[in-house]
Amino acid sequence: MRIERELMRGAGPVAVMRLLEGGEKYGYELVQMLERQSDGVLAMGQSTLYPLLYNLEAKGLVASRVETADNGRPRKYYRLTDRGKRQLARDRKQWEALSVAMGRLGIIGQ
Amino acid sequence: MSEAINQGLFHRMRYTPMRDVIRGRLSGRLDINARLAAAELPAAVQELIRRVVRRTRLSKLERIEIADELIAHFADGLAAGARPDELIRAFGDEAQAAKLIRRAAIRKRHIVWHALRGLGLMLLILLAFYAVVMLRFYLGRPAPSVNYLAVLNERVESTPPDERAWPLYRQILLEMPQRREHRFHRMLDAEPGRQQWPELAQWLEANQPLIAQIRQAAEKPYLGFALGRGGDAYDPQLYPNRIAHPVEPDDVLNDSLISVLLPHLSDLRLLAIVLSADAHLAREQGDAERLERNIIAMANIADQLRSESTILITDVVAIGRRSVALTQVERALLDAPELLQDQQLQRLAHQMAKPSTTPELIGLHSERMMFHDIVQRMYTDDGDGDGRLTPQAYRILGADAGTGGAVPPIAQLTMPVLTASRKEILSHYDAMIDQAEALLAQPRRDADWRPYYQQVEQWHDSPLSLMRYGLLSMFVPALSKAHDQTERYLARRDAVLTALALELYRRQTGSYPQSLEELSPALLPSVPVDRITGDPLRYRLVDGQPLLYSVGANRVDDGGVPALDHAGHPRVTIASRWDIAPENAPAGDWVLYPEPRVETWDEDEVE
Repeated sequence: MRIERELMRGAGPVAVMRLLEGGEKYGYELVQMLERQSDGVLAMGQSTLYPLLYNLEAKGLVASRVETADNGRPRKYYRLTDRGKRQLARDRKQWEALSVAMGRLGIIGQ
Repeated sequence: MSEAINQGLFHRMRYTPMRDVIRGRLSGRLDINARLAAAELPAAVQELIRRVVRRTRLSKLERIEIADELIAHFADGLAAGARPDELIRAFGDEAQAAKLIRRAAIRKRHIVWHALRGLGLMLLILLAFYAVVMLRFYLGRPAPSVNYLAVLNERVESTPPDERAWPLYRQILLEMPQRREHRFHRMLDAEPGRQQWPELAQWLEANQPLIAQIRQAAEKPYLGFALGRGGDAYDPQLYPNRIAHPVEPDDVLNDSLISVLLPHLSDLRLLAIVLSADAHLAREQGDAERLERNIIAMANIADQLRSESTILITDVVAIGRRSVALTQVERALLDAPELLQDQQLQRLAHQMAKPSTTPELIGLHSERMMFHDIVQRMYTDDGDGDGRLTPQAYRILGADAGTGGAVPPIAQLTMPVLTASRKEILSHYDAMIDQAEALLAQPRRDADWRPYYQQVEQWHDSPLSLMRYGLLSMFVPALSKAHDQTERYLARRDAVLTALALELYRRQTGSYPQSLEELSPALLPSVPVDRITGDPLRYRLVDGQPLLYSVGANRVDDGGVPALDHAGHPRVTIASRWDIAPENAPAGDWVLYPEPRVETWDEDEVE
């Protein structure tokens, strides 16, 4: 199942920040984890992921560093900043409230 | 070989960021193709990355960063066992990707870049705004709706021909071809006892019929001088040297008050001088009737000048003629005290009693009309009293400044944007003239002109303010000087009227009174006030002759000793000042009768 773009715009950044909460990751890793952990629901191509990461970086919610990988190529790793952690905490509360409200309305199962 | 080396060098230079060049390294690290080749990715993937990166339209450094990330991503995918076509499909819409990447990368840029971009945008907006304003400015056309010249000429138009003095004056002037000669003017300045007096007396004797015509013309109630093109200033016989420029149909100055010529002022001044000279001669000859008629004719010329088109300069010239008439009354009392009969003294007192206040001597109605006329020729008219400046402003301001239409380039750039609107300019001007009229209605000693000038100074406070209200600073007149002048005239008038009453008293009682109160009310309605202090005018007898004076600017009674200038000469403008603290004023009084030194009331004194 694919998520509508508008919904993805809200859910995508939270999902990425949540994945980075567990430690720094590079782009392909994030794509894989999103696909796997959301059963493909939150799967996103590079055309969505990298702009999303750049936006989070511009807002100071994630930071990046470049490291040379084993194959000798540069690879960029992203990590959650303190500011990103606070934002994730706020977002999480909002999603929980939203989830409860949607459940009460019978849109999602409780 | 050497060519290949050069190509390689040039290639590396082309793809080396400036920061590396500065550090002395030709890294060539901005070469995306080299990066892609080194990554050994499938051709389709390389092509996709190349297209996406190119479509981002970012800087070379940003592109290489994006390329590195995408290369790493695809390499990771391939290493994980994914097929190239699967990875390309999973990538998504490349156009959308390039667009979003560009947007996000720009968002990531340094705050200084964003600040500079904001500044650039602001400048662009300002430039666009300026361009629109300038376009509107150059497209703007004034639409004058009031013919102020016709308004000024209304009185002339409505005056029956037999009540107009100008046709008579015109004939007299045509019979005086020497009126343009400097020598003639110098001769007319002569007084009894001076070197040129015999020559002047001879001329006066020979021209008695002409002088009688001047007196006759002065008896007419109105002047009847039509202003503007087609008016009397363009009389080809009287003013043959005046070249009437051909009228350009669209010239904004056509029929404008600012371009009105007033050559009759100097002509009437000349005729009044002839009357004054003949008054000297009549006094010498003991001809009381002619002396009286000459004095009254001078005052009548002043009345005629004020009977129509009362522009400030006209009023000032009229004050000058009245002042000369007062001098002739004084000379008659001092030099030939028995010449004029009682009734003649009374008639002269009656004649000189009016006008008695500043508003009767000068009016600002025409000044106001002149400014409104200028504004309606500079601004557009939105039908609701407002409008914006037009290029005609340059023409008018240039003409006014006598620069042939040249307005400084910086003003040309800023005026269209910064100059206040028509409504605001008129509102400020009218408020200033209202304020001036209220001040002129007060005695000079009570009129505080400081707020008036403070307002003018506020317009000069900053360059912005000056550019916004520059028109006002150019056209709001410095009227306190005119107020000084009217007050000086009125003080002289008070003194001469008092001197006439003193002479009548002497004739009735055989001696002068001890105080001026004795004159009132039989010979003088009331004792005049000292126009500096508001106290009664000072009076004393010196060698048996009356002396009338004000305590002057220092407000101390110096016994009637006049205030002197640096050269040791009595000077009215030193003694009669209202804008100076008494402690800073020179010692000495403002002697009004007999005037210690004959000073003509020159219109040049008014700014």
